[in-house]
Amino acid sequence: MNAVLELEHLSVKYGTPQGPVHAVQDVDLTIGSGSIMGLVGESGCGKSTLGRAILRLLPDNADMQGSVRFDGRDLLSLSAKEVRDLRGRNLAMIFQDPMTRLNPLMRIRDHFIETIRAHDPAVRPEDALERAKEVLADVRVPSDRLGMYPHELSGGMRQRIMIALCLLFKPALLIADEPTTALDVILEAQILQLLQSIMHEYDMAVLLITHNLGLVAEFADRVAVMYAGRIAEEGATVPLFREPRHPYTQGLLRSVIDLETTKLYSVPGEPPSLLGDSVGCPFFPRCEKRMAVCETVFPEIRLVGEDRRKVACHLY
Amino acid sequence: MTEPLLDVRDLKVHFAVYRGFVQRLLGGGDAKVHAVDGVSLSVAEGEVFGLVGESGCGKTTIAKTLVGLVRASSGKILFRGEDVTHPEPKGLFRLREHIQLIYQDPHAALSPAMTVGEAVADVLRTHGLPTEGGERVPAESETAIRKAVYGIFDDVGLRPPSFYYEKYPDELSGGQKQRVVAGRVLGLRPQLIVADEPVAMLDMSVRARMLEFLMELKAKYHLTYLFITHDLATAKFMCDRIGIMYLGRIVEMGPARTIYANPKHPYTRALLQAIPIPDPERRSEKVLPRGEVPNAVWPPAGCRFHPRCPVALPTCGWEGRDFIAFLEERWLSSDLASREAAAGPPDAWKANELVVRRDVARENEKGVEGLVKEIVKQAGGPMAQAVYDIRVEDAQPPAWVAGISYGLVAALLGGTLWGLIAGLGGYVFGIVAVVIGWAVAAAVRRGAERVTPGIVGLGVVLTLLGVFVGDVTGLTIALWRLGFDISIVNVLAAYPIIVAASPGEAAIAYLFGLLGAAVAARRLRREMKESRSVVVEFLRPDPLGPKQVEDRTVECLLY
Repeated sequence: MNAVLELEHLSVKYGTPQGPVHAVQDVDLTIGSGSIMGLVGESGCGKSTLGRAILRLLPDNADMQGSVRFDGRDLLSLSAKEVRDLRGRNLAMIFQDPMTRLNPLMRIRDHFIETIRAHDPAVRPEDALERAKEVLADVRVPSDRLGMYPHELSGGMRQRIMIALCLLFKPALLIADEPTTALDVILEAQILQLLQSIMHEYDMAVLLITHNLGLVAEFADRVAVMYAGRIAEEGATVPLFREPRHPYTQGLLRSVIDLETTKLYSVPGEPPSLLGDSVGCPFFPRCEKRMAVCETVFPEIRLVGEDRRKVACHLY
Repeated sequence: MTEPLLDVRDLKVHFAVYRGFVQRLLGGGDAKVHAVDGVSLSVAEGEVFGLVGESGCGKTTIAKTLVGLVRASSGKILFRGEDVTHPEPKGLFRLREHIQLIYQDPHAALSPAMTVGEAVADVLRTHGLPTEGGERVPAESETAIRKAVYGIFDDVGLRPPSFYYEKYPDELSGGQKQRVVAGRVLGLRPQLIVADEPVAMLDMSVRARMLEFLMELKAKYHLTYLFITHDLATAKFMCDRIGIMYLGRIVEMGPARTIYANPKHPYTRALLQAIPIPDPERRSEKVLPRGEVPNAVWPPAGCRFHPRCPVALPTCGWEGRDFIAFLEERWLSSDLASREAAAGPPDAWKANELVVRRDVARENEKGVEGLVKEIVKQAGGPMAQAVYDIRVEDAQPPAWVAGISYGLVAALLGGTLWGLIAGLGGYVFGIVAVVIGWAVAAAVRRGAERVTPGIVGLGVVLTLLGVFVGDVTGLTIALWRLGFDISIVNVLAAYPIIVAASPGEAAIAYLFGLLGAAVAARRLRREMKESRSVVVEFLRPDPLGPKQVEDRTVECLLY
């Protein structure tokens, strides 16, 4: 299986009046074609920043280091124009809140026509509309919705239309940033099922960014757990859930409340501030298994076990 | 059996839908959002009752109604046997000392301009301090208030209290803010706390702590909770009894443990199945209900869940709208859509409760009827079984035809009558003629059920405007574009009458009127070429209400 996206030593640092905020630090990640990579973590861990960094959607005060290799090219070294060309064509992104992502003043068909013609000015509106109808059928939205405005549609339908807009150019990778957080559980399951069937048809890989461990367990092939801007653990889904190795992953899985929960557990303490430089493991203050070395030395990623799990922890 | 702490009986909360100014004047029907549409539940003292459902089901509306933020449209709310459905301001003030609300978004619940200490102190200043005997006494001094706030902060785990007193909300974490909100609520020593998604906005690793905290408070202060959430897993852990809500109604209600072990209502089953399990080795094929939660303004007939239910029966409430939705989905496949184009497109069908019809040309009627019968046969399933009859009938004339007839007759009659009475003071009777004609025609054209004073008023204003400006015809053309088709006929008839001074001119006026009628008739004949329609009629659904089944109530025809 070949890799569709390779992140190497990716770091994102925001310059703020109080000092540098290390939103993402030294992340290595590889996504194989046709697979779903789940990127999980809680609020503030840097997962959304990572997703946007790939597409160069960060504000001007973000300083990115490292490399983002896609289709043989390093996205970080491309010009803004070249990135704009790739974005929405070969690499697409859907966001959390479908309510605010569509232009309330434009009909749905104009969204499609504008998107298509932004990449291919030569395409005629009629042909763009035909392509729009094709992708709408793929996401099971009746084509009469093309004449409507976003506020006339339900949340689930808007999210499907967002997905359809991404599929127009058959991207190799779709980044989904909390795509179902604002939706109800039945709708969430429907959208994920839809994504799965589309992936097969379009031979597309998905980076699923979410805080919902259940989603990741149901749909992802591989899981990367982020904490304080770094990858704490990464590996194939089944072994990772069966035997989590990083203490944070263990704590996170224990604190999930599902239908079988009989006892509540929460990880003590709060996530650290990302302001300024830090030493040692960021999880040190909250870790039940901490050792003296963890306070001063940052644990590099090691490969552990038969499934070659990546773990950033001194225990291994 | 002891009286329940909270007893809600057949509660309905409807919100009016405000349409545009002109539409409202034309009386375009009253549309209401049926947010809560007949909910009955009771909460015993000391229990945790969970109200579970997806967004839009009405659970937050119930929460707001219980604390008086929203007005109930009908039904009763009894607290300790006392009717608190429509408390007047003084009663509401007292009620808030007994029923309180914890919000979903702790950041939005706290004023960013006050320290959190001040936020709680403010409540104590207004309502007084609680005493051992349960009474409330006004605080004697600021020191007493501060001391009480420190006590509350200590109770909710914000220690040291003096440190947290001076903090502003944006300096605290989500969990800390939620504790401040809880503290503020506890200052009033309520008996019933309605918690609306209290942990939904908190991270997973801190949710457990907050839930434990809520249970500690419950034990310490002898609280009763109405716990509102869409998270079935949390509800299972926290609640003694639950009620599952869908589109304004409770579909299943009873002891939490047995409902989770053995869910009866198909919606409950669907919800439980849809929850993603954080265990990849237990992935399973999910059977999800079709579609999404529909509009609460026009909820489905019969059982509201029937269009999505995987085990629906023919008697569950199938109606015309379901047929149109079915056609839409069927014709997502372009193959079928082009083969069955004669019966389409979906918006050519008009539904009216149990009946749905499509106009066809006389020469095509047999073909389309046969095609529709074939489609229904192929569809199979409960909807197809609910079809009572498929036939061809005479088409119903479009609404504006009625408008023309009424409007024209009204204008001519009115004009003549008034002319006879008022003589040649044509000014006034012309106005009356136009107004009547406009009003009636516009009302019918817009599908109004009656001519409202607004319609007549609009007619008067526009006529006067036109007369003063001296260009009634121009104004008419402008109005015509708004849909007042018939007004051209009216004014062509009435304009000369308004300025007529002699029978000769009145005759010319009536000639114009006839000319207008001829134009309208031609248009009518063109439209009536499609003079037949294919009709699909559904069976009347069985009546539906909550039924006691074993240890719970279920609202479903399967039981």
